[in-house]
Amino acid sequence: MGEPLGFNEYSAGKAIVIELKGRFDASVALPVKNRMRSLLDDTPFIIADLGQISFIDSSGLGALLASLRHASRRGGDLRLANMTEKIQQVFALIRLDHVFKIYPDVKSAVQSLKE
Amino acid sequence: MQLPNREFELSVRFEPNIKNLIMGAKLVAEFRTKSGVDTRMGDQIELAVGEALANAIKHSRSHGDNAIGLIMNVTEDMLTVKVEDNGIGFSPEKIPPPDFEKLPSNGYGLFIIKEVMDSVSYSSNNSVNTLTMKKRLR
Repeated sequence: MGEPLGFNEYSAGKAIVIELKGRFDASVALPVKNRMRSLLDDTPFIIADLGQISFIDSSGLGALLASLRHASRRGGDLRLANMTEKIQQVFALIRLDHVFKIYPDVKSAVQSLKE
Repeated sequence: MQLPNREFELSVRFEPNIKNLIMGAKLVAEFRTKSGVDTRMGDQIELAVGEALANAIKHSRSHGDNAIGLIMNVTEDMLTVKVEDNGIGFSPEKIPPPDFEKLPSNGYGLFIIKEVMDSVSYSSNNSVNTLTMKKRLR
């Protein structure tokens, strides 16, 4: 079933990594979106580590989409890493797997920003 | 290993507070255990129920009562999920599909439900709206 959402943040290269854990649903989408918006005031690049997300719904996806747009307007990007198959399937349902830059792990997402 | 149950019904009612989505998730977890559905199908049902409950809670007109109902019924390998609310209601056929060119940050819920469930219907009676979703389990 999964735990309520929690997150950790740390710097890695040019980006801040936000490590999300638990259920990313409509009950937490707004605070996550607001937190990402706030982080984007300090850095144009965020990497969201989704490896410990147990569930995501369209509100969670919407928060990521809104954050991606916000980053793009600032000349930055929101990149995604470490997705499980379950989460990938939800992204694919609404064709978002072609909208985000998605990496198998955080290390390769951090590396992509050096290139 | 527990053998799957062929016929059972689970239900829960709760206040229309978005924090109560977790109560629906708990019921789906119980359904997954009892029914023995495979992981992929269980994930799809979990997603559809989550989307339906989030919509019902957002559009409910009540506060502080048990206006949101979730019923999961399994009969002859068919799952029927009913989500009840007392909101203003809507016409599913009038909801346009998402614009995948513009990619808005909301409006995907009903589309997702239709994608992962076998059938979806909607009715309103005596100020109770019921979204009914069906899926063949095997």
